[in-house]
Amino acid sequence: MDLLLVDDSKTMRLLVHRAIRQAGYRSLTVCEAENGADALEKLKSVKPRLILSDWNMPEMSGIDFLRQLRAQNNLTPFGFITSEASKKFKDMAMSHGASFIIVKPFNVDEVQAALDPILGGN
Amino acid sequence: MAEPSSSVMTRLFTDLIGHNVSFSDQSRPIMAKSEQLFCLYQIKPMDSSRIIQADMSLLSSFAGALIGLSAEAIKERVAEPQLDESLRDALHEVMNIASRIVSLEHRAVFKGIYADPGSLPTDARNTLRDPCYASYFNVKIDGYDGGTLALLAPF
Repeated sequence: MDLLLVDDSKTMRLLVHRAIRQAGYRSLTVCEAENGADALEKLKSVKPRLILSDWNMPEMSGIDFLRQLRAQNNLTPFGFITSEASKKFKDMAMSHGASFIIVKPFNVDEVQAALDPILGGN
Repeated sequence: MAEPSSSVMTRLFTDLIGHNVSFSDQSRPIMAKSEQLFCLYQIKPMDSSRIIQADMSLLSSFAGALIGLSAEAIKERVAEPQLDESLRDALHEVMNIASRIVSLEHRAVFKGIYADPGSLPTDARNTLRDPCYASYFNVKIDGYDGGTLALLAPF
């Protein structure tokens, strides 16, 4: 399994899927979760190469998910796709070990630029 | 309050839905002729409310275009007694992303969409009734129904 996609919005999961395919990653295997807690549960059985997560989600936010992940010594590369665009949020994400932030609305080029260094191009 | 200009709104929604969107400023309040939706945002750290009021047909166009529906398909789904789940989810996502331009100075958190303005929290109802700040826009979308949109704030 290549990618764990975490977002409470089905629409956003659909759009991220579409952008990933358009970025050339057509054979990428993707697992989905609806929030941080659901993602932590899924990570008991899957080992993705990359986690892409929204920030604002019910039950467990993206940043709380990242904190718990790193507390468990899980160093899977982690990126946010979020509408939180301020420097404060970017700094917080990076200080907790995120590799990148993609700000909504995003385009295919931004997704590709974020994924290529981690997934090794398509 | 720093105003989100029509060009900022145009850029955000065009980037979001992948179709040409055009916001133009209107000097006078919108006289709602069609069903309206009221999108509530909480501004941090003050916890004040801001509202986007817009034609349901316009917001449905944004949502439908986002998930690749044609204008005809959107109309069919909106005409159903209950709004289709995928369109409703897309509508929430559109308005969540719009939180980026609701306040240019502070963080805006999207709280929800209301069809009945009477269901809004008290401070938001007061803002809706007597906004100290308001921006009104006429919106056109290539290939889809446009409409009117207002951003209302208490200061």
